[in-house]
Amino acid sequence: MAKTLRNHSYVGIAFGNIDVTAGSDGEWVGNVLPWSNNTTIDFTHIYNNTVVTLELNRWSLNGSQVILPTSVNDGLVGDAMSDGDGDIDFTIERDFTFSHALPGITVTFDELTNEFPLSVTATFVDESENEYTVTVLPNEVTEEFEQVCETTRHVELNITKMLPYRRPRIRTTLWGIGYSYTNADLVSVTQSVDVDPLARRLPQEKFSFTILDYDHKFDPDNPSGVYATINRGAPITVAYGYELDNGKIEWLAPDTYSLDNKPTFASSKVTFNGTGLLATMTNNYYKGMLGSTNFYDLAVDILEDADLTPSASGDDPWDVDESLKNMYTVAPMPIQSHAACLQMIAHACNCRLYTDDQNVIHITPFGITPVGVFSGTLTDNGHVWISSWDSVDYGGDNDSTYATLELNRWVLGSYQEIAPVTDVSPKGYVSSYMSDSSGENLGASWEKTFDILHDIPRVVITFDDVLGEYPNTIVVTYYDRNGDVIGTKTEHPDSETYMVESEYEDCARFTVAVTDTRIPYRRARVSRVAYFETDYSLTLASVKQDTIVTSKLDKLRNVTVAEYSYTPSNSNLTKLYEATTDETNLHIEYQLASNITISVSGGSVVSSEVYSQAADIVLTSGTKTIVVQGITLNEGSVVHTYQYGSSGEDDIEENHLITNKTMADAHADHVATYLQLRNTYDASYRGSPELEAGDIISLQTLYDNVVYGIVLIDQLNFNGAISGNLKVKGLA
Amino acid sequence: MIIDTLITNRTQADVDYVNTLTAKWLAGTITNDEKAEWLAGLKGAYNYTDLNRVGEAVEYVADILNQSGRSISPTAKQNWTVADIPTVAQMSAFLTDLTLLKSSVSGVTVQIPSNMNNLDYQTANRIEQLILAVYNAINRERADSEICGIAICGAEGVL
Repeated sequence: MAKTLRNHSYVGIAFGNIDVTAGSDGEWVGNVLPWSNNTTIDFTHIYNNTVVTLELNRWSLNGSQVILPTSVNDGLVGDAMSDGDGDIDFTIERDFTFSHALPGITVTFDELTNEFPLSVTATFVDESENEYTVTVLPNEVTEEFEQVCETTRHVELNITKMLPYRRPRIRTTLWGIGYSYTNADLVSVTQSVDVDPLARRLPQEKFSFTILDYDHKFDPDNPSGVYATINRGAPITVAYGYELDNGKIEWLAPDTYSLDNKPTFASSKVTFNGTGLLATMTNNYYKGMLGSTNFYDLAVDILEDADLTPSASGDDPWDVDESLKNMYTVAPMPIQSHAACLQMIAHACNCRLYTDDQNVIHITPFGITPVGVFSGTLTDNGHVWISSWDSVDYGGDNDSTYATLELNRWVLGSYQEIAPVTDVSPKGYVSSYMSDSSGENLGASWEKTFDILHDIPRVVITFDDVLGEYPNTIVVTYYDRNGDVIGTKTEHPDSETYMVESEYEDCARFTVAVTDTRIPYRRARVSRVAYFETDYSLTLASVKQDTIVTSKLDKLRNVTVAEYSYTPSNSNLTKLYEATTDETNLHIEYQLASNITISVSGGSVVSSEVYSQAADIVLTSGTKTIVVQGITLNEGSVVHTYQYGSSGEDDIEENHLITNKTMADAHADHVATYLQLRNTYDASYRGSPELEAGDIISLQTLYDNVVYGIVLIDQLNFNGAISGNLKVKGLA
Repeated sequence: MIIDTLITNRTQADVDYVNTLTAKWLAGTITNDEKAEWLAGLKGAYNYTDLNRVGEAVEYVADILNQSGRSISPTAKQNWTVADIPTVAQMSAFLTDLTLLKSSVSGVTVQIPSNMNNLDYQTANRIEQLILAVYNAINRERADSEICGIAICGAEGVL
């Protein structure tokens, strides 16, 4: 039984007062070894191994070091070695192309061996050639060199003391100082995620926290404070923890946000606001081109153009589903923010757009059905005539079962019906195979084949829920796209609803062999198969009393989807742009056109990148006149209407990237599936940080013990204890 | 004798001791005796002295084998210094020498690692156990031949 009182909860926040643009401005220069990697140290990178060297006692026999040549990234490794007394004089330096307001620098040294220098001096030089130095005698592998320099143009790190016979190693340099806060520091924390399953608008991923700042460190009026060095986009991570019954704190994986703007200071309290990575992508993408392209390439081009910082593992901070390679558009992407471009793509491709807890952007297919994205077909190796898989995704008619003569199953007084000869109601799968007198040798099996590859963290199988019976042994086998076995799990269910968990990825199908029932003479039965990314269940006990609000949409009548096309307005060249300028680097924007030509008088074009609505041009110096011409294009559309009912609301879908009937049809179907889910539940609850918008969860209502739903909005609040608000779309 | 210096009894405690002593040095709490111990090279780490010792022992055993009619020419580097950085090619030569030793006698079952990546203390022990096993095998072989005499033993079968 769930506890009505929850143990103490905790929040930990790490705020990096970091200039995220400094990492990509210039690079470290110094005398380093050939395999040294000076670039990955500019962002948080996960290092797994280190390269073997014969520096005294460094090749630890713990199985973690590899021999050159290797692809292992060892970070920056200096080509200098301390002497027998540990003395060394090693310097790396860096010039910035533009000024950076830095509160200092945080350096992580050789974290894999937990070694660090014993004396390091950091020098910051500002625009006026003023030098600011700070010397630190490190006592841990990550050290902060706190020194405010508001217009930093040059930085040096000089290492003068180490262990004997050691080369300098640096894994990470973060351009700023990290601060961490826990319960005692925090006045309040609010986290809110709102993801539209249809991607009709950008997701709202917001985070805010307020701390006490009696020292006025973040007070903009404090000349010795750090306010001036706080940069938009600085990383914030938040982790929630629960106190376990044994007194230990279990921390959940942290969520990552980017600082939205400078903090606000009032009455010795300072409030920081963060957003997901998407909300920081406010620069415009203007490189749209007319012509057929697949949505995957288009999305990746936009993401690359956004110049995002790599993830902690050094990978691109995005994951675009491969299925987008098979969807096409001929439309040029309108000039708008990178985030808005991605939202248009997600909307057109029936995907969900969101950032995960590591601030990685995802464009992922979203199946708005009772099976979520796990659509596909269910088949078996033999079933009786009353069997049906049709209802299993939905739960079917679980109030009764068809009477059969399996020994002692037709329990008197139970909800059993005599099956009609025709038109049987779908009550789930019933195998033709039956266990023997020992309850063994059943031999029934069934399988689910997915439409696309899936990770399958949790499959919940409901067996004979009317009689409360369940098999003794099932063997679940997972297959990849080639039909090869990825893994097998032998499970012994302990209730009529049983969850099979797995860590297998990219599964094409799974089979379930029911080998024995323990009870003699029993057929295998399945009344429901559900798929979850979380095992979360929102029970009435976890909901604040009288806060559940159920609302119901009107019925859906029509969905209209516009299919766009682009045709030349005429065959003549039109002047799109004309100007006289002294500039050498010119970015211009104009109306949508094709066959674009650039002519210059008084100078010439050095190079140019020409797009359907913009151009980047490099010109020779001097005053010149530039003229851009092209054939302007008209945008037209055909509106397709899809009828889903005789009365109710009409829905209108307009997305300029939908340029073929196939995508219009699919989009209408996708939208209609969602809009026909009419029940929405709002509730205030005890707050669960492990939940994410888009998760499919089960919830208990006043009338049903189990209703499945998609989390649309998840809001968490912390003011000493965690609470939250949920909006869930029912999947009935 | 170099054979007597081979190390075959490293333990996890030795590996942990490297971390402990290094941490003490970094924290400034290390004693002078511990410093001297650290500077002499610790058993739980693989140092240039280990590579040189193994190289020297391989050559020593190879000489004995060659005196017994084999023809083995170790090629691995033996003048490692603290500034060196071993490469895959050099470590392959190092392991090839061990393979040559092992294949020159029968009855030695000690496993040779396929490479020196992710070296742990058990593998480091096995490397030197192998040299010792080959050394013992060739010594047994030589002792047997001295006791019974090869000609007599060979003749016994046809008498």
